[in-house]
Amino acid sequence: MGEKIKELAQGIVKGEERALARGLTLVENRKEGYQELLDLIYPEVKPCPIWGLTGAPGVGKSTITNFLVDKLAQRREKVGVIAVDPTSPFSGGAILGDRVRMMDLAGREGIFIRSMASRGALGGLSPAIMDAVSLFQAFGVDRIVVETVGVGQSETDIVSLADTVAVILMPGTGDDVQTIKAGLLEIGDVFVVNKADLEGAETLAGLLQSMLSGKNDDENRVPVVLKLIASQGKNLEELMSFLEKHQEYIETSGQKERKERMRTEMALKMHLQARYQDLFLKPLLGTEKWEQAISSINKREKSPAFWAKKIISGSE
Amino acid sequence: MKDKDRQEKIQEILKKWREGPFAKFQQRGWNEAYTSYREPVKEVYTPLDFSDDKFLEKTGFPGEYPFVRGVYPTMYRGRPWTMRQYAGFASAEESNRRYRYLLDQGQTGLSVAFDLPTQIGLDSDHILADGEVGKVGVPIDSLADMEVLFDQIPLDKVSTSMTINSPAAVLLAMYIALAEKQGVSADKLKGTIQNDILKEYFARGTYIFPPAPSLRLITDIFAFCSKELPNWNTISISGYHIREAGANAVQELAFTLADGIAYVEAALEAGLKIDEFAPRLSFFFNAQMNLLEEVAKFRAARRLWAKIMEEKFGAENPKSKMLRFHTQTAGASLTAQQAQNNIVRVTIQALAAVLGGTQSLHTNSYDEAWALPSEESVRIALRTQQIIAHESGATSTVDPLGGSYYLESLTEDMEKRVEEYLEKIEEMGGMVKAIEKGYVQREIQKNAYEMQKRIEKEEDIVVGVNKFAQEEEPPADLLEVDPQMEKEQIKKLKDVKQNRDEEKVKKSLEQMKKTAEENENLMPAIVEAVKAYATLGEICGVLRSIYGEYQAPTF
Amino acid sequence: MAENQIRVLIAKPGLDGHDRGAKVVAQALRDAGMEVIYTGLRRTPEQIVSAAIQEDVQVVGLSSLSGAHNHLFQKVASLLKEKGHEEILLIGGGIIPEKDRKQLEDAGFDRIFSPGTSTEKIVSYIKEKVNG
Repeated sequence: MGEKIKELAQGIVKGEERALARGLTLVENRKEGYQELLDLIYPEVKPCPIWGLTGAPGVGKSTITNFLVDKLAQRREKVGVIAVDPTSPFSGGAILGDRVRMMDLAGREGIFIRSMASRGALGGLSPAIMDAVSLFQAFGVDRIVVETVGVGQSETDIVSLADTVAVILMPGTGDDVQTIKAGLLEIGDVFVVNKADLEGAETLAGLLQSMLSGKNDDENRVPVVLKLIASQGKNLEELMSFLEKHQEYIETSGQKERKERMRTEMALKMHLQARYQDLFLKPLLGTEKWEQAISSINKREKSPAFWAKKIISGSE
Repeated sequence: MKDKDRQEKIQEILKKWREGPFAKFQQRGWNEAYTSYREPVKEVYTPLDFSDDKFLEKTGFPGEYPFVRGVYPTMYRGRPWTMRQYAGFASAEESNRRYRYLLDQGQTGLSVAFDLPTQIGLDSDHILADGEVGKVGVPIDSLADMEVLFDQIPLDKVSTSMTINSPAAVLLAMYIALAEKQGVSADKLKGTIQNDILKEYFARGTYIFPPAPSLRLITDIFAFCSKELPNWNTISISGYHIREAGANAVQELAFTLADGIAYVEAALEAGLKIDEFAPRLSFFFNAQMNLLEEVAKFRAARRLWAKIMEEKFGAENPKSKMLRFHTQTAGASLTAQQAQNNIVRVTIQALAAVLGGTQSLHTNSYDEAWALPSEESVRIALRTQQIIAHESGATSTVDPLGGSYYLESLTEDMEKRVEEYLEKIEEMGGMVKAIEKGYVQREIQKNAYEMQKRIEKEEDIVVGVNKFAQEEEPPADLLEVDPQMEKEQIKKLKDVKQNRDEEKVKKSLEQMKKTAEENENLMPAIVEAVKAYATLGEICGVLRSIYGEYQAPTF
Repeated sequence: MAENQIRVLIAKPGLDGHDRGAKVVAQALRDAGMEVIYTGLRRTPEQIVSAAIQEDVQVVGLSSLSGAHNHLFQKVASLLKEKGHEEILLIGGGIIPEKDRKQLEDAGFDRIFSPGTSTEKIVSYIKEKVNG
């Protein structure tokens, strides 16, 4: 095992596609050796800007990603793309459809696209995706674009991961006050109203503007609202230049360190949670103590809070 | 009052029958039955389901509004349907030989199948054309290929149907240019172009441009033909492929008519008058296995379209309200297993089309689940039509099933369900929006997947596949396309490019670009470009550069 | 649970627009717990192979009904071989005559499924081959 993992790590660091592909599978499946692999590549991780795109299915995320990646590749940047799709809660399977929009990029020099299923991480990002970013950075990309399906409620992880977040919306899909309230406003650096030729685009953009006007970050920067028609290529250049300007700001304003720290904290938390699951929770399931707690709670003898405390202190 | 008494009487007797003899027999055995759209079918139909007093309003007479019994008063007693077999071969030469043979045999209608690169507006030497040239039809790169395809065929004597959609304007322009070379004026040309882009986005897949410019090309053709080619069917609004993609009968009808509505609206918006272009609209449906449901579908289609044209669009010319259609038997119903059983399937489907009053018919060949049809299998397919026409008696009277309680009530039921779909689509902002949102695709996919699951659970039986299966040898003697054809076609394309006047090509393409940007009717400019031997790929390339390419919504 | 997550690439090489079968199969594989990457229409063999490698799939499934399978399927097989990915399970379906089926299986395809094959059969074939 050790030798194989070492070889894999070397391959990734040398920039071999095949090694990266295999490594990504390893961390995604949480298979034996994945921690070793992360250990091995970590010293070689070369931080790079990360852009996050999020939005509901069908708003045009992939078309926009496709455009951005194409532009970056034209400049001979090496770009890594991670496209996250939800896993079916019923079968555990998934159809990863984002690649459909990006197939024109397949096989192009310097572009590596990987589809990942959310695998139970509710709308958010699984620890595997944080690790995938590390692998890409050890492989040596100039930029990473992460595309996630926003479900409107728990899509906040992306903020901890990406330097710059673009929230993609479109008119007429219920992207109205209610869904916007649900937390989206907190996460975007730029709000994109795609399909701006559809009815209601002006209203949506206006609504966003007014909701955002009172809101600014530590540097008194108000998020930007952009209208575009991605399918016709309209205003995509503007989005591109916004993202670049924002990146510049991040790098010159000291935000970069803050973002780094957020990412690291997030990764550490996720790994701790995973460890807790593996080492503590999973072995507990079905044990005598577990059953005892369940039946006591069901009989209304003690509350779940009581048992949680008792189990934890008992294990200390 | 008398009628009311009668209804009550029937109700009473039906109730007794249901509780008595029927219930008793039902215990011995009873199978549930459903329509293709999963509506339970009753054990028996009576005047309670379709009463006589509805006759005048709902059924009426052939050739009369709402045309449920047929668009012509005499139907097949006057003239049989056109037996039109779709065919295209690996090269223009070979196709030309076949067409001339068919014409010698007394056929007057040609139906041209193009290969996929042609259908997607790519020249034969394009990287994506690799391996596809001449596979499902004839490759046409430029007017030079058209000249070969119709060599010694006088275009004023034949009617030509061309299955071409996204680049329909270009192929039509080539046909017009060729006619001019033959000394035939455009107003003498007869035929049809499929020209139905919307279903390509969700059912057939040979789209190029996004919907808005595609619709513009279509209305340009409508406007141009209403002046220059009065005898040309400018569009064949197709449900065939929608059904093949996995839709049920109601979805087939609903999405086809919704497409039709979108075209009419686009044409009206472009400033055309309804009665100018509507008489040249034609339709194309699928004939599937459920015989009576299919007949009801064709009847419902006519009544729905007549109503839509009269009530929604205010058409006055009766011809604007007539839904004329071509039918093809269902390719998707053909099985690879015990392939000869397909002859029987095709017979039932063809009969449905005839009982449903089709204007023309293509019958599939039994070996098509394995390959393109062989000559023998094509002959059997044609003979099937001839047997129905001459031996079955199905043509003896017009709309022979009209008045059947079951059929009339099924016709009404489908009509109602189609209307529900149409309302929903209208609420979504019309068919283009519904397609862009992926709604139509999802509806069809869902139905296709459910059908497949029912077959696998043996709730639906396919003879020879999930029941009555047997070991067998796969068929030999299948048609093969010589891979060498592709190289030859590419060489021909090179020759054309070497021998033409480059300056003229460049100028004509520039003119075309200008016309496109200025939103003028593109047809005349395209005709000029094809005359200069600009290739299909070059012409579509100019349009691609202005309009962009359509990107399908993700899964 | 995620130990043996099977990943499959379903692709439509060439210009054929008939994707009903490909999509039905993709849905069935998803419902059987697999992760399916669907390429959409009009893909070149090069694009398909590149996607298969980056996505690190264990299975590539191709569908074609246009008669171009001999050329396009074989190209996918030989590109996979060339790039050292013979371990990927390569399957196909569509309108493919018996004679071509044999030829493709000789060229590196593990299996060509004929029309009418149940999705259940495809699922169990993949599971058996991938999980052993």
